[in-house]
Amino acid sequence: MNTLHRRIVRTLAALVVTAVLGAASRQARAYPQFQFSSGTSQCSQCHYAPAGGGLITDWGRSEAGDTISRGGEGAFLHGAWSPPSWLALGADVRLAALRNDVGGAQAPEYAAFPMQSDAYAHVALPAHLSVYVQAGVRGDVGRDESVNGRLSSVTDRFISNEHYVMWRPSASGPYLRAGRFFAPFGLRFVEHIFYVQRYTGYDLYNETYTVSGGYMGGDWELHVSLFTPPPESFPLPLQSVGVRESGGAAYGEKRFADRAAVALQARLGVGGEATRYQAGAIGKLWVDRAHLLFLGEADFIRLQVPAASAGENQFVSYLGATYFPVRGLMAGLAYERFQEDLSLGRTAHDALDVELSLFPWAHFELLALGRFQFLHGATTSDGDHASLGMLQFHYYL
Amino acid sequence: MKRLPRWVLVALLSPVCACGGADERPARWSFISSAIVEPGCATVNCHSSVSAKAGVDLHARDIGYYTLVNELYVIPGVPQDSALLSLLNAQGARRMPPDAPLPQADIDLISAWIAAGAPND
Repeated sequence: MNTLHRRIVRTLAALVVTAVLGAASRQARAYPQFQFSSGTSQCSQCHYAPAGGGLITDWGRSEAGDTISRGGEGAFLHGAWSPPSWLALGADVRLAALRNDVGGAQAPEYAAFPMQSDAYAHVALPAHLSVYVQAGVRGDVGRDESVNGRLSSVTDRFISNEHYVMWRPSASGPYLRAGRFFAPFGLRFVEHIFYVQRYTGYDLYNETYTVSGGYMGGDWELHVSLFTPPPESFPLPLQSVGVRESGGAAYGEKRFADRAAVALQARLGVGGEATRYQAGAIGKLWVDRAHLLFLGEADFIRLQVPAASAGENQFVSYLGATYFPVRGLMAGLAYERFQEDLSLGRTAHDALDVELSLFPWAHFELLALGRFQFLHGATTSDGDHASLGMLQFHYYL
Repeated sequence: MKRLPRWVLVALLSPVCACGGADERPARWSFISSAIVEPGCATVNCHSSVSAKAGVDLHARDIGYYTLVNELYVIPGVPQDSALLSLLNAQGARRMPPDAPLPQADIDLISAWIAAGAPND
């Protein structure tokens, strides 16, 4: 290894800590684990967004206090003040500590940091219209001059990754939504690290500008969307990161007896260099007697790269079980796979995840997360696996 | 009766088996950038256009290529002296990507591209 080589490696090694911290940021998503298990069969009963995620409704707040946590008042400001009926407000604050070990020099690493904090507003307008805005501050990953002065202050880290206008005459029936948000597709967990989000165009801050319409039936729902990434000329708070694709998506879900659901989904994403065709299915099953919820997703992806005159067939999946032993406690175990090329087993990513969430009181959550990734074919002496352990405190207003 | 395409069968069996065929993917930057680097490295606070950690922006093919080559993370034709491979292999540094390490087959493909002169092809 020559001197320049060593210098580059040392410089980058010092930057990896902040990279991991950033990767561990999180944003307003959802808890699909609460569908069916809380007695609520539709995501949109608890969320203003038709497909779930983001600010929760009065019903959701009531569920958070009465069903999900050990007790307490789930209303805004703990019920101390109620906004007018046309206005809903909310906020999230999260703090985290982690241990990350991917092998190599200086591993494992330890860190503690604030994650992204968000504020939400939903304003009901006449004619069944509403406006939704989510704005926040990215997680503070510490002083980092390597990002060229960007993201080095709170104002630099300001971001709004969801803002839209919606027409929705009633809880059931048709709706239209336009603005910045993810096109409904796939399981959208609070933690963004899962392969079914990272490798399908739904990674952190990858929200697109989207026009979405659909229909909410009693035991089914359908969402159809067209999307495009924010133009690169947009200011930093509106920028997206990750794969930049324009295209369309469709998601249809059918529920059975308020304890099971099957969904089919498809997505086309056209980027500057590649096109992705995705199709998949989702299954959800609540076993009441065992207090167990099973969630599964499997997607096939055809990645086509015209410049290389090549393509590959990919597969990404998630299979998890969540156990609710007592009110306020949720324990989950999941297996994930992402295979970059189906004809090559050596391109597989496999992970095991263990999650334990405690909701001791309405508005509070304590989370412990363990993640173990297998490194297929690793040839270094640093082992053939990577592990992540994280403790997190979450408060919502 | 019409037979299922081979890739469908492989896909259905994928979660429980690992196919060990030869790697026929092209060792070309356009493919590597789209299939491996952008989804694996150009994430939010890492090498996206917004963060460009360490001055490395990998969110698109051309800018990623010129960053890696001009900043000497890639030494065309000399994979053993290319810092990029040391980072991916956790040699002298913590492994990258730090949140979702690459399988060895991907690292081998990148190495083959560098050995071939690392063209922006």
